[in-house]
Amino acid sequence: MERRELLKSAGATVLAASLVAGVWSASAAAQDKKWTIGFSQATTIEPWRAQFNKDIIAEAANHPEVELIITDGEDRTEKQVADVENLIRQEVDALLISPKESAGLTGVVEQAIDAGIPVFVLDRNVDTDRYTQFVGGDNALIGRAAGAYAVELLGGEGKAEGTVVEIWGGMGTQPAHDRHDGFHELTDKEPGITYLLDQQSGDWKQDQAYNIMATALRNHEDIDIVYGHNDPMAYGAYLAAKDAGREADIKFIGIDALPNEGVMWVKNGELTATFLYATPGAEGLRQAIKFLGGEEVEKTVTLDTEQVTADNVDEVLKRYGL
Amino acid sequence: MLRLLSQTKLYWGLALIFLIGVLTSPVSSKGNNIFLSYGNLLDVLRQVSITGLIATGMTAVILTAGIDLSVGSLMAICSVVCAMLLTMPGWTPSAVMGVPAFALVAFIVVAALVRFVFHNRAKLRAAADGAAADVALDATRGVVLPAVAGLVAAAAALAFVLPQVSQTFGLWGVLLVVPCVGLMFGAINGIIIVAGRLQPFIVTLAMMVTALGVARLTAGQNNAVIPVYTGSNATADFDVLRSLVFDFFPVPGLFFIAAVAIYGAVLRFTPFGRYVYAIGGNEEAARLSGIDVGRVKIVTYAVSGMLAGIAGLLFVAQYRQGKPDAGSGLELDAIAAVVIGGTSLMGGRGALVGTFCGVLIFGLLSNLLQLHNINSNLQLVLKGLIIVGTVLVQERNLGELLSNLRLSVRRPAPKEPADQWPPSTESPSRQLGGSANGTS
Amino acid sequence: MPADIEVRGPQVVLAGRGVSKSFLGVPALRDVDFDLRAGEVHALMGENGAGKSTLMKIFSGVYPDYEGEVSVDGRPVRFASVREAQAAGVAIIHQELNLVPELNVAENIFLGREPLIGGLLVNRRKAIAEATALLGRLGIALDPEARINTLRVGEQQLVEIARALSVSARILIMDEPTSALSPAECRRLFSIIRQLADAGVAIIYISHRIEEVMLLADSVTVLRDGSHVVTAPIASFTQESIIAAMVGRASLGTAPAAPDAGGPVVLSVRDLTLDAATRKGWRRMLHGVSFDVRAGEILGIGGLLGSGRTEILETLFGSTTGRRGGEIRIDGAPVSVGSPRDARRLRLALVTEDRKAKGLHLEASISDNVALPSLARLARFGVRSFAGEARIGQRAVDELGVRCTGIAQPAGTLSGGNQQKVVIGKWLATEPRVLLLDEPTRGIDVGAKQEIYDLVFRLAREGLAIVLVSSELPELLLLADRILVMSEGRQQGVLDRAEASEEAIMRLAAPRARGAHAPKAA
Repeated sequence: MERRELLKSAGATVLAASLVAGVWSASAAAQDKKWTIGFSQATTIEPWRAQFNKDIIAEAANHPEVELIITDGEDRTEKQVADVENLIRQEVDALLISPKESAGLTGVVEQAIDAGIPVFVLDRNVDTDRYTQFVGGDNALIGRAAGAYAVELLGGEGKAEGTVVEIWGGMGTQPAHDRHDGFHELTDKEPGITYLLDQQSGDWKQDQAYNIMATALRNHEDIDIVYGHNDPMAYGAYLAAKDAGREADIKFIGIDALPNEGVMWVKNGELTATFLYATPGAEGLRQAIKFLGGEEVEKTVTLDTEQVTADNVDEVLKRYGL
Repeated sequence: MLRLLSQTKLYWGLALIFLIGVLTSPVSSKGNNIFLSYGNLLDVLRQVSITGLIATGMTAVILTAGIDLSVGSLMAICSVVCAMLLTMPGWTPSAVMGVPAFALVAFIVVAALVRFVFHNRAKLRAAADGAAADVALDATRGVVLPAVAGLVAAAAALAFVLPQVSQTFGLWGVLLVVPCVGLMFGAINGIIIVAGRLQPFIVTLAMMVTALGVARLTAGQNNAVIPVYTGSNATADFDVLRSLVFDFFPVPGLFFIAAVAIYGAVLRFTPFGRYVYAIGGNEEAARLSGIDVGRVKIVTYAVSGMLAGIAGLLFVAQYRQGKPDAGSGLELDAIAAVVIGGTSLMGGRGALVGTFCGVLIFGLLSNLLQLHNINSNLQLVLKGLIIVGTVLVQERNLGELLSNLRLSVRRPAPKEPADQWPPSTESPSRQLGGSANGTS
Repeated sequence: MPADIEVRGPQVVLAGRGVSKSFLGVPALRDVDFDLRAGEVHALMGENGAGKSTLMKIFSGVYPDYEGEVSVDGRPVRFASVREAQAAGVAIIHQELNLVPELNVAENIFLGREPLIGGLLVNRRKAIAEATALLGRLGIALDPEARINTLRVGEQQLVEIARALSVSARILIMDEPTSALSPAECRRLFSIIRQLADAGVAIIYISHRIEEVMLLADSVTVLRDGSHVVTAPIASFTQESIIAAMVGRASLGTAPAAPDAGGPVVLSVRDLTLDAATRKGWRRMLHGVSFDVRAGEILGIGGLLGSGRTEILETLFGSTTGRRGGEIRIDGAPVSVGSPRDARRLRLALVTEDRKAKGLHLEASISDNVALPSLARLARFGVRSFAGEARIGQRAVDELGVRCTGIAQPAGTLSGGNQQKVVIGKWLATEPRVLLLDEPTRGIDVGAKQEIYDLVFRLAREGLAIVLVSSELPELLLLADRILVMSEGRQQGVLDRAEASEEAIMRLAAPRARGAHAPKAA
């Protein structure tokens, strides 16, 4: 019995020692880092967001004094709220957040601000303006650009004529509404343009857009333009048209312009045009580091958009090194 | 008369929706009824095939009074595995999962088949001799030969599949391997439920979450989708799964109808099928009658997983991508179709033909709403109402329903179609200190 | 008005005149007259299908639709619901108790009528106090805060009675109350019933147990085939005359002339033990049971509730979850029975005591039920043989005399006796060598019982080895060639037909002080 107890206490000591050593070395490693920055991502299940994460991680690699913690909200507001609370408790030096939706995340963002953590809101906004900075594209601007392009395709300002199928992104999100409103600002002015669908949502997903388009093709013999709020949806619509043998008659407009996705589809002639919606992660991180370094940063950084069509697609690809 | 109507009410429902569709359908410029058009109906069949395959597997599981909440996630994993095998050469996580799964399934299936043949031939011989008892196989025929045959089959499977790992997989490669992955996951469900004696709800719920995680890990952290471009990064043969047979019938529809027909025949014409119903009707009585309840249950979950795998294949073919969140929410659609089709969630009652109708009803309804351009959100509300309404009608017989609607209360209806012959009231419940049930 | 009723209290509290009811065109009650007086214990007897349950359901408000007149205290009434009947003072205690197992005694007593504080919150203290008072008045020593599922069936029944009384029932209908009680609990129940009767409550008592009725009732009404046969005070009846009124003929049945029990030993059991897993560890349920059964022999197993009789059968059949020990031999060869599948393959068959819960699929047809254990055997290359299944289904119906509309009739719609025959038929189709029967005539009326007895004798004659567990001593004495008596999991002795009697069995079965065990060799 004594030997057993001896072994037990020996084992416990070893365990405790290794735990202490482990924690010590971890904190020692952490002490090499100057700043801990937390990034709460809404979800990684969409290609654009996967790219978003890739970009911010790549940027973080350029700054060895920064430790970047990324959390995944798994497309659920409650989870993202919990993630942010976690980051607050970990006392991060700065918080970057791309919220799943505005209302649900506002509370916890304010909590972070009250705790003295500077907050950088990326891509989608929250219902408060006490954040340190907002970085993102201007979805309304992009929508307007897309609308202008559509008008041009259909005959030019004042003379545009044709039918439009619009496939929404997730209807609970601000970007979808902005992209819709911006587009319609231009196209509503044209009396010759008819909209065929009423608020059909593809939830940013290729397969859902496919199904919506398949039915639309069934219902309408004459479709001129498909406007998808993002590239995967526009592409899904393209596939549906291809399967029905009608892709040559229809022009497809998308948004995002990821290099190995939307841009490539334009190159292949599948999409007619896409508009750059840059991932704000890298820029946001840079701005945060600037701020922590003591510099002033602007309240809003708007990322530019760029129209990508067959004319400039090769040049764009070259820029990305492809 | 009322009884006949009651029994066929499922078909009436289907006919009703069809009729509404035809009557209210928008008309094409040439004056054709769009709803009724060949292309539209085939579209519907194609669209429902994926849900339909899953609902088919789900029917048998529900018949045993179980449930499988993991089918959506299993379909997602299989779509990821399929897409990866088609587009990425080498020992990717998908290959690591798929190849052993295929070999294992080949072993089990062939060994069981050989044993089955021997057993039945022995039974035939015994019946000729007039014996009535159960026939048992000796060791050679019962174990050794099947095992050997199984090993040979596994080796053949590996021989076929291993070369494809280094290039990418061809059509037959994925067609064989991907359902086996689904089958394995389904079998794991079944084994945990039986060996652990746990509730199917909990186990399959846990599997749903686990499988989602596995799917995302398999796809890789930074891959949200795995695009499949047949002809460039994947074999063009794969397009077959999306095409039309004889230029008019969609291949996914073929898979669905074949699954319904085969599984339906199994449930109706084999002892296994009868055991499924018996277990759902009264599991304890089934066990005490000498039925191997555990084995039957495991098979139903395994088949459910396999059908989810085939659904995953069709998904990739149709939408040209595999992704970890492919089937989210699909399990609920499948359960709804099964329930609309008349299968009771308590088990023991129902039939595959009902599920087939349920899937069609659901599909035609969605198609109808889409053709009429109904707002996406409104569609969801309507679907929910339809499910509740249909189940209400299903669970009661028509007579009861009509008499409930009648407003007069003074004297209840003279005919009481709901009464049966007074059930026997003698046998008391013997549970010492156990729960008390009302008289049957 | 029925003649010869001794007036036991002047007041008729419940009366029925010309009560009739049919189901789907088939009459269940034909023109029945019935009187119940205050303070009397009125037994209602009859075979199954005689209409007792139907009559009681009319009186208690379950069936509002019937012909004829019912009156309470002379006032004509027609209860549209159970609630209305309860309001008029009629309470029924069903055979299958209607208690909520997770709640305690007081909560069950006041279920739906809980005393409230301020109309919103449940006044637990008051409920417990009132329950205590009520139980005390009845002389029932139960803890009002005990949860129902910790009580024995006998105690649960008392809770039901207390509940009925708490709604001030003046007319109490009790349906087969003693079928699951021990003799001690029966005695307690009877004394409470007498108490209630003395206090003026009128009691209708339905039972198949004639000895009980002879002890307890003041008057008896017999129904047969939905019609009223006779109503008279108990003094004017004997056991045989009651049976004759119920059935149309006299006795319980006799053993066939020369029971033949001399074949070779088929089943041999040595030192059978069974341990059950409880939260506190393993508990030994069987302490080494040994016996032999020969072909053509009927071995009865007697003993009190909980003495291990059913456990013996379940262990032999492989259907227990628990640790088994000991040796089982069939035809001299040792076997291991790990599951009912093994048992079936070894040609053992078990007819369980609870046919509805464990023996039948109520929604399935007769032939589906009968064929179930034999499906695999009949199938050819994986395809069911519907012809073969119909064949054995029909054979069971013919040979066992199952009264039905055909083999497609759902088993749940058969009467108790016929259901039992279907279960037996199911197992006979597997051509067993050993048949294990657990309470085979529970809840079956006299006529059907006789048929089952004849069947058991016939099966023994044909060479089956039969092990029979029964709580009804007359049945055991009639059927068994030898009786093995169990007490508290231990084998106490084996009695031959010649030396067996009710006293002998009860003496061996009674629980005894520790250390006084000397099992006789089987």
